[in-house]
Amino acid sequence: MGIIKRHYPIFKKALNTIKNAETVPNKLYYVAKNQYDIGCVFLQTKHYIAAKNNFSEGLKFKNNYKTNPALYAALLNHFAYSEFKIDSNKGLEDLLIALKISENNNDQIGIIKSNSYLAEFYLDKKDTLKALDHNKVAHEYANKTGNTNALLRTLNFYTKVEPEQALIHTQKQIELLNKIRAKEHASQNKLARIEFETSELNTEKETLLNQQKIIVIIFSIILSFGILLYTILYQRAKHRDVVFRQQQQASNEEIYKLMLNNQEEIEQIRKKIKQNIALDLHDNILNRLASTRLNLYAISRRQDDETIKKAIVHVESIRNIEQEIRAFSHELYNDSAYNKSNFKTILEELFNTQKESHPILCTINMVYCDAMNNLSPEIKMHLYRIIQEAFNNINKHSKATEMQLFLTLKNNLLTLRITDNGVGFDLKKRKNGIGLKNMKIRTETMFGELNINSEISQGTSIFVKVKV
Amino acid sequence: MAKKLVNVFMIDDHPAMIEGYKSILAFNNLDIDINTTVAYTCEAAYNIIFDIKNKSYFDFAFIDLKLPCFSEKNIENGLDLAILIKENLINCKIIMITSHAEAIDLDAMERNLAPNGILVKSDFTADEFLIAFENIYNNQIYKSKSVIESLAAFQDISKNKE
Repeated sequence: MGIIKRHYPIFKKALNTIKNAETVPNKLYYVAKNQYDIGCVFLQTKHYIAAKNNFSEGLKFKNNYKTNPALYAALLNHFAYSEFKIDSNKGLEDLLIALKISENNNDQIGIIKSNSYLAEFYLDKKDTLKALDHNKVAHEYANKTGNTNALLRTLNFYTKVEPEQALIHTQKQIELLNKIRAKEHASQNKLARIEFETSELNTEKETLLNQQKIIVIIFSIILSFGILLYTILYQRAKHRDVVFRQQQQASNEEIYKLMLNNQEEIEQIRKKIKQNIALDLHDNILNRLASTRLNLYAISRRQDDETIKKAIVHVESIRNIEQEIRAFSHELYNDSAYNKSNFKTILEELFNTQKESHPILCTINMVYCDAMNNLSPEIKMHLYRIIQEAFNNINKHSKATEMQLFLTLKNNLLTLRITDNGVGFDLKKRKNGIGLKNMKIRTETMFGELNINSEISQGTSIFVKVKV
Repeated sequence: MAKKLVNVFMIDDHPAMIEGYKSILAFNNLDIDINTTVAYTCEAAYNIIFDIKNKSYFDFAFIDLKLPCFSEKNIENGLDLAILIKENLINCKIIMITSHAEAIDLDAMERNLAPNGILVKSDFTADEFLIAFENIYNNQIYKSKSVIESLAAFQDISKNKE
């Protein structure tokens, strides 16, 4: 009810905004309300003509009569009052209509206001009775609705009209004022308490926020540590893996080199043996043949008995030479046989070690052929290692009592099969064990095929096929 | 008329070869009697060479290139022996017998020794042996055919290199 003058510019702006706004629901209501508000400002500042204009503008929206009767009544009421203020003979009719509308709609505020204005009108007309009547109605409604402002006003009016009762009315006013003040204090206290509680809540909120921040920070630190740790461990594991592979590579290379060296040494020795044989052949046998020939020359010059006898002796010596050549050739033949069985010897040694140092019954079925000697040193090494690894696995894990090895080279296909009657293993779990992985890598390096079959308590079989 | 006597020193590690040489030389056309002294090793030969009474005894020496060496005196083969003979035995003609005709060895032989004759075992026949003996006896130099060929080829190469 106490519209402050300084709200006027806001109202004016609001009015323009509303007028210019296109799609606002209840636009008419708002425009009218605005006009009412502006009109009230003018009323307060006693610009009655301007106020009247505003109110009449607001009244133009006849719809409000149906949709917002309270607003319409208020507009009409204030319009009439403004007219009265301008010309004290005007306005009564509209005031009464406004009152009627408010009564029909049970608009208590409107009723109070209309009655107040009518009281003022009748007082001006010196019709004290009617004035008091209307004021009384207003006062009662004000009491009913607890509208303290209206109560004050109506009491004030009483004082004006019934000065004799002034004391009682003033007392009542003072009471009311005290009540109002008490209410104010109460609400001020309430406000202060609310403020205090709010600031307490704020500080609490801040502490909680801080706590939250700290928790989040700690958590993220722990998380990042965790990730860091995991990364480090993972990298380390990978590194170890790489190092291991490198070591593997290095030892593979070493074995390969050793095999090569071995081959070379063997070649050298072979060469030496051949050279020795050649020398022997040359010196020994050649010389003897030459000397036999020279000695037989005598026959070409003399044919007497003695010479012939001597000659025959020399012819006989040719037989000795034949025998020596035969011996030599045998030596050569056997020698070459010895040299070629190198890889075979190595494998046989491996098999023997297996047979002798483990209680497993080991059956070796190796059909060794010359072509196996001609395998590249790499294939020989890989084959050797695969067999070695298989043996290791059988010895360590299989708990087998029997094992068989089968190795042949036929039609350019190298076949290796190793079986045991041990506990077997779960293929899915163990497939990536390092030993088996090695076998796989080696077979792949040889462009071969590796098949591993195993069932729990049904033994294991390893099958390697390489095209050579 | 008494036959002339020629003292021959034969050094070869195969006695059968020496027997062969002896029997061939017996058929020489120079009407010479051959008196042979043999040695089968470098050591034995060394001892004979440095035996003082042999200083001007030998007229001929047939030396096989390949012999069991005498390491104490650094004598590794017939060539070393031949050099010693040249230095120590006066008027002794030297004939090298070798089973190889390697140009380099022959060239070394030529340069270090300049023997009166070089024969290649696999090459010469008994007749050739006699011819060589007779030529050298008449102060000529005799070389086996393959020796001449090898040396020629080798000297060609070395000339071209220069």
